[in-house]
Amino acid sequence: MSTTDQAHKSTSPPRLVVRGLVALALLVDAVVHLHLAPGYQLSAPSGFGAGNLFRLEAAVALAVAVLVLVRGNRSSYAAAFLVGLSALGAVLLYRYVNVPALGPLPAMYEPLWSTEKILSAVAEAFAAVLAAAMLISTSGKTRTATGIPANPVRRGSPNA
Amino acid sequence: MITISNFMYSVPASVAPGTKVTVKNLDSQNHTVTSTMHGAFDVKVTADGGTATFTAPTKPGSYKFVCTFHANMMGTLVVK
Repeated sequence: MSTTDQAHKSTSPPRLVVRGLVALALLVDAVVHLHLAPGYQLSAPSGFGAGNLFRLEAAVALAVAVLVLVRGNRSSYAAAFLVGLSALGAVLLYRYVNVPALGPLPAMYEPLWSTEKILSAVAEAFAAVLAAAMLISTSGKTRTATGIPANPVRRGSPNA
Repeated sequence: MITISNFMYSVPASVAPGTKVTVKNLDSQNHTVTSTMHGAFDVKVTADGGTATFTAPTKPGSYKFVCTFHANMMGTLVVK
């Protein structure tokens, strides 16, 4: 872990709560995708198969959730943001645009919402927004950790 | 005939008992027409114009059915 990452590890109580919520949102997203995967593999089996894509998304979301819990650094929040945003983008795209099969990607257009779909979309949005907030809130600390002191000490002062 | 389009079933008002019912799927994903009453009827219909046929139950009544792949897809077949 780099010095910068260590400096941004979320250890204050509010940040720990947000950290847990990001991981929880990714976990919910993963569980929903794993639950839906068998049916979607049968409904859209061409190419890689929708179900296998769901399983892949779930595996990545779970891995990032663990990363957020274990490390809680900027890299993990960046990964959480990307996973949440990309998954949300995909569900919205295939909800509203009839995208044809593209290479290994099957046609997955589904012009309706289901309870599980809404749940995963909300979880993805939640993970992305919270992860973005954590990234933004630590951006000031980045400058400090990379050499610009937040409270510069004057040469010759008693604390020097 | 039952037609599936935009993840919705278009079902005739009623069918006679024992009628052969054809299902046509106009969506880009596979679907099923699966009776919630176990064993009444269950067919898989492939995407992009695929068709399948099943025999309507011989006992008159309203038979609810679903797509086992997509939880929000449901319909009712009236047999009389």
